[in-house]
Amino acid sequence: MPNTYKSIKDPGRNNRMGGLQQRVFLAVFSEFQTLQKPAAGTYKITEAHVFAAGKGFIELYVTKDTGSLKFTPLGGPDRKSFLAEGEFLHPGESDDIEKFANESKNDRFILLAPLPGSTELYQIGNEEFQVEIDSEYDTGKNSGDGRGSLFRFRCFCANKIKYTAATIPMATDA
Amino acid sequence: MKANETSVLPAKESAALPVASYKVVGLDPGVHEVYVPLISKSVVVADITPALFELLHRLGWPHVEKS
Repeated sequence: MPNTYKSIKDPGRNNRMGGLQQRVFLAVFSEFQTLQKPAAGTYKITEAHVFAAGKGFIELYVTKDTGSLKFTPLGGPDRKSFLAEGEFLHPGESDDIEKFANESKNDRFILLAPLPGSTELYQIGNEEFQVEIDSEYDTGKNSGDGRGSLFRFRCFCANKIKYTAATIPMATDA
Repeated sequence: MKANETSVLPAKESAALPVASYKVVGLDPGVHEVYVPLISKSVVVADITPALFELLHRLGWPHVEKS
């Protein structure tokens, strides 16, 4: 069945600040009890994901002006999809962030990326493909911005999906 | 009334304003803490204060209901 398209007129003067908010949310793929999906014909998840008691998303602090997300096209004619790639910097080398950097590199995640000036988030990862995370630690130089870990994430996505549920379930002690 | 005597009005019961009470609805019972995009903040469900309930209700968070 062919797609139907409709007119998309001037979207108005909404906030379109670039980058991500000063946080991202991550949950280990294997800990989801119910990974919600968009309703048929839509590209938004409107119901909160479900986890076992105590499990859920964690929040990672992101240094201002370092969080970004980009979708680029993948594939050829008649078989296109997206590659989602992004990065964010977390300052310093606390025990918690070192533990995260060491353990996350071999795990698979669902990531929620909050947009500034909006209650909407992009969800990266689903039941088909999950997010991989790499980290790069750099002391920098005395005159630079300071020490920290730059995390990079990537995932194949058949479509771009937003998460617009009213809540994000958080892990206990997240 | 004699000098140095003060009159005391009969005690009046203070008319307390009705305080709205709220409850959380529609969350999975196992959920202890949620991030609420409307306020860009994580909240522990059991610790939501009356002021925060009021704010969440005013903003239209669907998981708060006046009881």
